[in-house]
Amino acid sequence: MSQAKLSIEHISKSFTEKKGGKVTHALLDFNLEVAAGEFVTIVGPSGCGKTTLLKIVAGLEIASEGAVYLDDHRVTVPGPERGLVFQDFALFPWRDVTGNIVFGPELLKVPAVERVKIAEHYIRLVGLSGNERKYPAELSGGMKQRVAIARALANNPEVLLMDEPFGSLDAQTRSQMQKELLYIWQENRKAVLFVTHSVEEAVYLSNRIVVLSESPGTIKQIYSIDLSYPRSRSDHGFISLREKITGCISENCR
Amino acid sequence: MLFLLAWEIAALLANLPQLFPTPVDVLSALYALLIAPGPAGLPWAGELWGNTLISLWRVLVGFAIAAVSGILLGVAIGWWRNARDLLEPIIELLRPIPPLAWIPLAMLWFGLGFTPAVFLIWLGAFFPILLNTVLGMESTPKKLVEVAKTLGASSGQILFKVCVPFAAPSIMAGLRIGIGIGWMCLVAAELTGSNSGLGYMIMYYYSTMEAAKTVAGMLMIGIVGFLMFTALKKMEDNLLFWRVQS
Amino acid sequence: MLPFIRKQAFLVFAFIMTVPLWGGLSCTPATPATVRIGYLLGDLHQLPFFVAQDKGFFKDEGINVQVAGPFDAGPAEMDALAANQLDMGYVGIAPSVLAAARKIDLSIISGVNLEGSALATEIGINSVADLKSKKVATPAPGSIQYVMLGMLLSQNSLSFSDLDLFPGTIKPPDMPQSLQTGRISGYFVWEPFVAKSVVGGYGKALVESKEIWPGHPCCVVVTRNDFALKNDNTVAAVIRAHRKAVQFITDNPADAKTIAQKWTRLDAAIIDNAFTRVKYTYALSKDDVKRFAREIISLGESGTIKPIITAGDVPDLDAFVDKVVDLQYIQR
Repeated sequence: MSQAKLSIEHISKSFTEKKGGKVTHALLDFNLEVAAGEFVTIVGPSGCGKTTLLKIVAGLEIASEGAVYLDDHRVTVPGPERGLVFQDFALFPWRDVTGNIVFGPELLKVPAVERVKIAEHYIRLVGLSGNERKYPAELSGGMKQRVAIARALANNPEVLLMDEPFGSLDAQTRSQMQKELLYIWQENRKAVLFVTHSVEEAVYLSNRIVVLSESPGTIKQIYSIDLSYPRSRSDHGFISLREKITGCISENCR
Repeated sequence: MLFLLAWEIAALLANLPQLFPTPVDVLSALYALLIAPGPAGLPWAGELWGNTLISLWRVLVGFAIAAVSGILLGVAIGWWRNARDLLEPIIELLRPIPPLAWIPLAMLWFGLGFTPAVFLIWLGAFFPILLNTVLGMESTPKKLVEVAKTLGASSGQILFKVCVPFAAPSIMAGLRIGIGIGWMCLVAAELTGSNSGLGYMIMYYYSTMEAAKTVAGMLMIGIVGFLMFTALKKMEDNLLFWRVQS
Repeated sequence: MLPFIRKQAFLVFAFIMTVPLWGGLSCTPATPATVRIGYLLGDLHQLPFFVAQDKGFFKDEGINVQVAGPFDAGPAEMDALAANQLDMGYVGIAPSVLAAARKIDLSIISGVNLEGSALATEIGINSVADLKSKKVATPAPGSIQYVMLGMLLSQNSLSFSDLDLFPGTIKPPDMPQSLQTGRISGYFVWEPFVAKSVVGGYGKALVESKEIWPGHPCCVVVTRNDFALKNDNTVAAVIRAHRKAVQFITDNPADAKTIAQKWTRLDAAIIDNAFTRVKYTYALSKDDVKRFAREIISLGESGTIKPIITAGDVPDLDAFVDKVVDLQYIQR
């Protein structure tokens, strides 16, 4: 029995090309354990299978080999205990901010009175007070992503899966959102599995960083970040770690 | 206003009242139609309103059936692969047949008057509603479905809480197109095998060479069609207010 | 693909159409005059028009006929005449009078036939009164048959509001089938569509039009006055050919029936039956035209039908008929 919240064991994912029948490995023998309350980030060149891994954990894709366990229970299909946040928000345009956030609880038949409380709580947490009745078309990119995070949190998941959630935001909004995500994480202490291609973002947020190699996606190196929160991007230790990991992605790892 | 004046002058110059009535002729024809007794069963309504009511009733019944059948079938086709494989060939075969080509068969199957007209309206309105529903269902982004799944949605919940709401704008557009085509089919249906309604009325006055009354009837057809279209557009804007933001 | 074929077909057609022209050019100095003549859908009354074409009577007169139509009913044909789509037309007397009353500048210049329509009903109908509240079809409002059904109802103290009338929304050729399938209980129409139900055994001629008005006028030939004014000789030649055709039908009924069969594509039995009700003649009587106009007006006044022509439209009936009926061509 492992102590991990989430364990990913020997995951491989291969695709057979329709023409020629050539087999491509997106992921090969991937192993990772995420402890409760731990923030783990996966970085790597584009096309290394980061998103595929996240989808397998979410249950949206099926692994060719290996298994995913949550608290020692094997998971194969999507479930509300694993919340997912996409890069492009994927909000329901016909629902207002509150409507989007309570979507999960609604599906799980949480009573209406309870839902109102949940909505209020998460709207305050992600700093969207005053925007409850706005529709996605009226929101800025940063606000949309806050709604998406709140929506994922509203189901009170045990693990939060985030697929480049800030990738489509401008730099200023992005760093603002990173700060807020850390705040939310510290408030909730969820396990987070975060995918990004920004090393700086990874170093700023994570307890551990997993560097994936390009096809097939295998673990090249795992770094533990011992810097204390909140981290400063101009800090010497921050910069040297960033350089080390960036080098590891493109060339060799130290 | 300028258009009316130009029309009046052109018609006066042409001096062919039996072919080209002036706006004044049409106005007096409208008045005559308002005070003339209405069609059988509706004499109190006057000829113009009586026939308008008959036409409206036909179109509403035909359209309602088309809306219900088109949306239900469209959702089924958009959702179940099997329904799609089964029905798509039939639909693709029937769809290109202009509704008016069904008139002889409509009369053969349903006789005269109300039922064949309703059938033709249904036929005209059904396909745009169906196709728009299918289109809307199928264009539901995969991401939204995935998000719903991770939030714990069952497949029934995905259908009714994600795909159908997502398809709503497309369905509404289908309804709007459908009612326009249905109205056109109605008028055509009333020219054949009918003895009431606005289509019949203009045919009657065309036959008795009362061009002003024919034009008055056409005007009414245009106005009612426009009003129905506008009403549906208003309804659409109200229902789908979430997409018309800046 | 399709437009290409149509273009080719059109060229071939145009080529064939010019063939008679060559003969004209080589034999006579004058090129044949072209006349656009309209007719009604499957109307046996207008057989002289087809006999004249079939026997080459028009060609003999140096006339190139451009056949226009068929029209479902007379009013539509009169509309085409007014819109200068036609020069002359074989049409019912009622639509001609109606068109003239609507100030369309035309003249009625020859008769075609007398009588020849009937009220066909289901076998089970035994009197006009039996048709009360039943579905009955006629050609368009303002056609002869529409007016004569009004006269028949009036003679039986009934009116159109006693029937469930479908005027003009069922085409004459579709009426026998509508009767056979029970969609309507009766119809008043031109031949051979009464004969078709009679011979088919599912209908009967309950009342023939000659019982309503013995020797009533029916189809006539009309011409637009501005056309006749400029083409006096051509119009006269058309009427000469028309007279020859009427004479041919009278003299050779068997041959005429063969031509009728060829044109209507109906069985000999139906044509035989229809022939018993039609009298072909080019004669035309001003009194008959006057009476027809008077009937239309009084049917409207008595409320039997919705008023079509009012006394106000035709204040002086004698002057109206004198202006509309032009007997000079049948006398030339």
